[in-house]
Amino acid sequence: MSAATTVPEASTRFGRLINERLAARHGDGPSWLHLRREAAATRFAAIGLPSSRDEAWRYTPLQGLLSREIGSSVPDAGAPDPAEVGAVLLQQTRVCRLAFVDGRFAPHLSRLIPLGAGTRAGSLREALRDAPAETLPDAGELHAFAAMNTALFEDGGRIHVPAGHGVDVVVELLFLASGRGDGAMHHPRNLITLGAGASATVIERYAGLGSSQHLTNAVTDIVLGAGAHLSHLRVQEEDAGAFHMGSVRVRQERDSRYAGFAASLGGAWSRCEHHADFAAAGASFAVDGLYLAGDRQFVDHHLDIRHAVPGCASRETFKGLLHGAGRAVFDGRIVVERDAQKTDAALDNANLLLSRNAEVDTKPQLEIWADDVKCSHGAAVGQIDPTQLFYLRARGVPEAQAREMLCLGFAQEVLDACPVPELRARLEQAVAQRIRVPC
Amino acid sequence: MLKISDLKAAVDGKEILRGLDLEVKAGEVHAIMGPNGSGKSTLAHVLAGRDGYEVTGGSVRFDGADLLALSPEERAHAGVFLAFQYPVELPGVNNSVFLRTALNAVRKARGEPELDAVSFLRLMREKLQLVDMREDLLKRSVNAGFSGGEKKRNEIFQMALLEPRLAILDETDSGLDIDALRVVAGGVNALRSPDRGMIVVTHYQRLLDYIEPDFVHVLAGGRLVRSGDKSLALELEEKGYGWLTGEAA
Repeated sequence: MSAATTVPEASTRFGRLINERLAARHGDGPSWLHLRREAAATRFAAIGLPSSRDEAWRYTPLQGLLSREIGSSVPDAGAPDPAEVGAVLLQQTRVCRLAFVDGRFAPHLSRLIPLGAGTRAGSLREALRDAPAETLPDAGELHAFAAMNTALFEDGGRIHVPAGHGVDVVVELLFLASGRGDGAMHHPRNLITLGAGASATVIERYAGLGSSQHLTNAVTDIVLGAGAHLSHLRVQEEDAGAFHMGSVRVRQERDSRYAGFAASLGGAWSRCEHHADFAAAGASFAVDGLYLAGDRQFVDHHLDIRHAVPGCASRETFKGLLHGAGRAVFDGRIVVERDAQKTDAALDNANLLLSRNAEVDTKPQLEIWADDVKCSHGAAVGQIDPTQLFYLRARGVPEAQAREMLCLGFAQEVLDACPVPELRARLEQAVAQRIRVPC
Repeated sequence: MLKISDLKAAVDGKEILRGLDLEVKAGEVHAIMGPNGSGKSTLAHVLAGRDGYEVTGGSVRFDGADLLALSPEERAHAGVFLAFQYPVELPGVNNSVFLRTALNAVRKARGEPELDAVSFLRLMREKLQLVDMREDLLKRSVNAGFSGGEKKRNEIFQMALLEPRLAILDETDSGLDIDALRVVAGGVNALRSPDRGMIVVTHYQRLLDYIEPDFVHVLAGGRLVRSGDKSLALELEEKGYGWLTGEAA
């Protein structure tokens, strides 16, 4: 099969792949799920892959992804041995880890520890086996990638914390791409639900073990009960050849809090979306994000925050560090509907360009239909401040090191928001390493 | 130690320094006074090596070497220290990490071993007392959200850590209330030493009540138009700059 190069050709090719794979999986899982998958396949066929004519995808080039033979191969399921994975794992943090390799649950790389009565952390595939249809939220697929995920998802994490319960252990969903063979695609699907007043910290991390041209197409649904508090840390550090599409969809009840952290460091092409929807007043949604892009890298963050009810707060702070010929897109959209009085929304994006060839398109948008609100948005694109550089050099710090310190300082303000110290330290190290590359 | 001869410098093509001569010997404190726009800060920045200040003539020898040929960091390594009029905020850069990086860079250039974390902490605590600075300021980002007084203390604290051969204080008194001024001046005085030269740049005589100079120079029109001892500063306080800037024309 030759690779398609236009959006309609690729849509047709992926549509056929979805139908083939779906047919092969008949009887796998409950019947409601199969119906849901078929509906998603139909939806995919109806909407097709996004093109630059779709406003939300205007600056997001799909060509690189479409021209590859993504979906043409299924990686052999041979699992990597733990030694190979060791460097990726958190060592000092007490984590309950669910590991997945090429989309499939990997018990031998996981570390399941009891989380207390009623709390569940396990495979979604297992959890759905005897579950009723309403277990899996039906968000109405916004775009073809989400529809493709629903049609084809293999597995992912299912975390549930019952009302009033606090999980003090960090739960980690770790997705590893084995890097065996080009052309694979994986569709991880996660479902995180917190009952009223429950709290948890969840890491969702994507990493690679080799270098391959594969597509990770993940969807994470999050439902927070009244007064629940979730700290959700999403880290994308895939290998250099990877394509990564991730959607996070958050639904919040009264007085719940979503504290998000997002870091996108890897991959050849990546896009991460956060969608927030408030069901009742008093809820707050926040994300601190950091992205890096260098040569042969494209990174895209997309926010879609919808205030339909009064008295909710949202705050997003994203920073981008671009070097070499790195390209980034930041597209944040906050909609405050007519009834959403007393909304408090702030959206901020700052970018540091370290080379002439780096490029960023930033588009923070506020759409306000209510009159009693507090909203702000800002975007900045700049270079290293010569005054700051001189200050460091005048104190004896050599120029290259001074530049590095200023870049790290820029990133540090976001990294400080990462509540898991070991993860924060790893990210600091990863950023420092990247900055040291001559830019 | 420092010999400035016929120094000329321009900013954005406009000549600011027009033939300045000054010699500073070890152990001496020189005050440079002058009206706004006379070139005081330009002199301080030219000596520290800031971009955008173009030297168009003359020379600066520091311990016999050509200071103007060195990069800003090399000047710092050689022992030149500029206390900034407006200390720069470095958000996200931890103050103690910054100080340790600076000190170790200077030590390395001098052929001294780098300090480990424990010795560094001990040294910092000792020097903090000199400027009566709160230890929690070390845990914050460099100068970010510091008050005017805290920023100036941080400058003198850095000077105490780096132990320069030549310290240039650029309008260190600006923005300080009298208590902060006293503390900062006390720190500077504690750092006076027979091995160290100092250039104190100031608009007002007030600072010189606390840091007593050996020499006072008046900078006007890009040249030193009058030099004397500390009594010259008192004369300026009384008469203003007008009677001298007239001479410069």
